[in-house]
Amino acid sequence: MIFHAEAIITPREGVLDTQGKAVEKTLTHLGYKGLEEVRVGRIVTMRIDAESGDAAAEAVKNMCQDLLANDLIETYKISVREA
Amino acid sequence: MKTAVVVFPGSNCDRDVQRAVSETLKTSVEMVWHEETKFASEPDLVILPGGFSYGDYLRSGAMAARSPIIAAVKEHAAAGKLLLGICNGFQVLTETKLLPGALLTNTTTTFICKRSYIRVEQTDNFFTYGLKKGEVVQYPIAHHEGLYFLPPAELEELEKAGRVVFRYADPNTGEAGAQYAPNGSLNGIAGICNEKGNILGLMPHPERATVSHLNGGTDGAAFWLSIARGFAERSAC
Repeated sequence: MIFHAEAIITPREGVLDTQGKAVEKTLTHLGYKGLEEVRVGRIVTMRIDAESGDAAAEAVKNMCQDLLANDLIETYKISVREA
Repeated sequence: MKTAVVVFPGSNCDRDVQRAVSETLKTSVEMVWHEETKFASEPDLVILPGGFSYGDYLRSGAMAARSPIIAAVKEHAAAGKLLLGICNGFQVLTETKLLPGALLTNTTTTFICKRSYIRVEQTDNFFTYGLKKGEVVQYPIAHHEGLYFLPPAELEELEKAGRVVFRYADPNTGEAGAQYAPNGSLNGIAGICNEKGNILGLMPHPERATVSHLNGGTDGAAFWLSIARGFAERSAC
């Protein structure tokens, strides 16, 4: 079965996020009030052929651990749905 | 001292390093494409050069750290031989976990290309053995992700173990620290080594300050001579 999978990778708490700070500053300049913190991450999407949704999620988890995320500075969340 | 330079797609300081080493140490340097799985020359020193491997996609150095040649690089380092990563090479070393930490985006949010002044913090390793502890040298920097990061407890351990080899400094007073780091690097760290002192990663480029006609200064020449000396004298211990 083909699944659509998504890994959302974000900077870990406590890790300096220069990109997030720059975006936050510009949003504030645009007049948005009450912003306390902006963090910027990335989304990796893929179509993946697997036996089940769990198997697809497991494969994406391994990809995150092997390459997509650096566990020292980033965390990730995975979502999978039938394509 | 036999030297090899690994070339990744997007490396752009590979020839500079080759030339700096070959001209300073009067030796030939093997260039190794990242898809190779071994070194032909059984090198004593392997250098991961600066540049933008794989376009810095995903994270700087992330894809290069998973290249076929990396298994041979790890074996080389595990055997106690010398491994040097400069700029993008340093990022590759942290991505392979051969050195701790990560290099984050500069706090300026900009790419910084200029001369930088760094203080030699310790000489108890193979690379700065021939330099003077406390001396300030000038090697240029050229990077967008040069902010050295390590969680506080691990950073303290790294400091205690004397593994911070270079720190950004004021060239006039010799004072070093975070306030002199152009990129916001924690504790002003510009270069670190592993426990054994046979792996070094640094953000500034000594190869850009090796031959005088490049106008980047000549402090880098002493660095290559220092490695050769460290290799000859410390290996004999």
